[in-house]
Amino acid sequence: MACEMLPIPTASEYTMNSMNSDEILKIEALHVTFSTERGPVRAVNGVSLSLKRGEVLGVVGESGCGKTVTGRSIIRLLSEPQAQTPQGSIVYRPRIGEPVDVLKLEQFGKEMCHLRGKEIAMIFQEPMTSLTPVYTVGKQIMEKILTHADVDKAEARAQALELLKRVGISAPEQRIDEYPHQMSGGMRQRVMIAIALACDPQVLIADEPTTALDVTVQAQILALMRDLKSNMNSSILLITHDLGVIGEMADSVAVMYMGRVVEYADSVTLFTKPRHPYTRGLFRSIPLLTKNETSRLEPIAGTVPEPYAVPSGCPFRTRCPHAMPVCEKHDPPPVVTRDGGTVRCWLYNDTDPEGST
Amino acid sequence: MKNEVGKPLLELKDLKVWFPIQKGVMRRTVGHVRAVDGINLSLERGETLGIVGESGCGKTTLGRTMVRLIAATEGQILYRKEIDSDPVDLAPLNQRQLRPYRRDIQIIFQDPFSSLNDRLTVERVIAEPLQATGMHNVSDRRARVSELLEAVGLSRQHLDRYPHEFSGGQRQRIAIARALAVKPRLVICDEPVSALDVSVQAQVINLLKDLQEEFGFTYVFVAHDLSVVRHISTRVAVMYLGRIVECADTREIFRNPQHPYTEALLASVPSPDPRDRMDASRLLGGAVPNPAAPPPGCHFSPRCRYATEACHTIDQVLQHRSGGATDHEVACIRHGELSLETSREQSLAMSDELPDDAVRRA
Repeated sequence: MACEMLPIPTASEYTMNSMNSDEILKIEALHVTFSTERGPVRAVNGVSLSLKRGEVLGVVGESGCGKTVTGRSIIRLLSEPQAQTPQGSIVYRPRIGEPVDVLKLEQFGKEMCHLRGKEIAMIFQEPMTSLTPVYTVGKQIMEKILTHADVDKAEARAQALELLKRVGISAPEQRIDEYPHQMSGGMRQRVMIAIALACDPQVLIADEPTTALDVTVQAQILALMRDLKSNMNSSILLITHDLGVIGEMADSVAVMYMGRVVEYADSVTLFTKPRHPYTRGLFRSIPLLTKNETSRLEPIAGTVPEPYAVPSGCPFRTRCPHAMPVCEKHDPPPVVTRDGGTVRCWLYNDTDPEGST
Repeated sequence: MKNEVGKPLLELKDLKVWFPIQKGVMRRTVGHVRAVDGINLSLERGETLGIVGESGCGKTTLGRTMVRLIAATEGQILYRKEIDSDPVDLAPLNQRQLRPYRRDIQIIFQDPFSSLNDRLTVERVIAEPLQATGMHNVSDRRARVSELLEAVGLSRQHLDRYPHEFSGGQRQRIAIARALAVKPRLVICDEPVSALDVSVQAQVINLLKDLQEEFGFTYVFVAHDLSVVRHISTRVAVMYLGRIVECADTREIFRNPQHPYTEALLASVPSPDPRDRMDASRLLGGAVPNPAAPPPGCHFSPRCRYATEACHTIDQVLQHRSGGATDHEVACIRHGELSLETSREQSLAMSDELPDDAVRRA
């Protein structure tokens, strides 16, 4: 495999050695920088995450927090010159063979193209723009099968039909020859999922899979994804801004703010005992179907700072109700909580930052 | 019943908005999309009426027709400026005749990135409606714009900036200031927060509520997000294929839904509580039918899990719920005999105190 041919840097080696056997994807200290007219923007600034086999890991945060960039880095969709090559390591454990660090692979090399789509697939947000309007949906599903599997056209078409059936499209024999514009938004998203599921990937990255859809259709798609996951034992990295979607789907959750993971916990702990002031603020600001309809929402003060002017120390301190002098000087490192998650906040860290630096 | 006794601000009577479908070189009309198909509704002064439904149900068209951005095909839009004034039907009026009523009914659009003119400064964006309604003194206008900016939580320093310098939430505040500039009585809010981030959504919802309290506006709040609608509305109308299928007080409709479609909508709202996941068996299947060729009988019957033979043939009209204590209208042949699931009670499990492993720092 590729990693044997390339000199292995210590960072990925470290990540690989620390990987448990139930972990299928491990991101360690990921940094992605975009060069813009107004200077470099650190879209992802030291993200570490691990996805276990059969798990749904939710990544939640507001727009611009780096959740989509993290997802796209995994299958190396970001290219120069806008995005510099991601730094850090993203180690993936393939079905056969040794774990590989995808960041060490050639972006359009053979190994990466094998992983992308076949082993790690992605579902995009906009089913309208991510399907091409000039080919039938059948062709688009078959394209992936023909790329990755050693089958003829007839067999690929049979598999495409089977996939359409699996994602709950009625009359697939007829639908397979239709174009995306002949379908509703929910139906197109089902086609997207069918494409992602072709070749049975081990990891599914779903980037806001239901954001463009109606609530009723969203509920259908979430139910479908849950069904497919339990039947296939694949893992899902679910990227969303919607805490409701997280609550319905995720086993564990990473909360991102300004390019970093500020809190990570299993979903029940995150809901019942959120620690980071940002997570707490998010939960307070969503309207719920509560008993008391007239209660006032409690928004987080201010807005997300400009990515060019990240505050010193903890990036959330400018909006944080608990900000202390230490927050201005030092960026809090992640600490492990009693519940086994991590949190990056001085409220939960009793070490002396002055002494440690 | 309230709207017989009191005199509502706005009353829709059998309102229809049909869009022609044209085909061929001669642009022959071959059919109609019935976006709004016979709506009766009355708006009381000071209330917030939420309108919910899936995309394509006609809720946006209905909102825009109330402002007369879209002409009504049939029916009446009766507007009563004061409680004791005679109603004026806005539906047949032309642009010139509408002018005196324009300032009374304003609209806030969904996408603050496309609803503000990028070439105008914030001052000019907000001053435009003032100028159009006859405020010609420049310094008066400037004073009024500053006042409005402060009312929506921005400051006079922002007067000379351009919209692109603002974030989504701030742009929506500017759009709100523009709508409020002419002191309207009725404000149509068309998905005003769905393009915004969660933390900013809450800020804008609170702002809309505060402004209503201060100035006594009547709101029509069009949205697809039921939890947002529940939060801001006093009454909710549920739309399906151009018609209202259920309409009642917010409390009532969430606790005691009478239409199977309302039940299905409520069941689809995702809950942030991972211990309470949705019941897949209650979810609505299929998609909204083509509004150009609605199914016979009750329009919802092909997707309804309670549908009987009669539902597929007999068309239902909105009627008062039998035996209901409050003003509750529903368009279902089986209403009253079904026991429908109410909305899930969601609550935050977190306490106001920080978790017990928080470190107390001196």
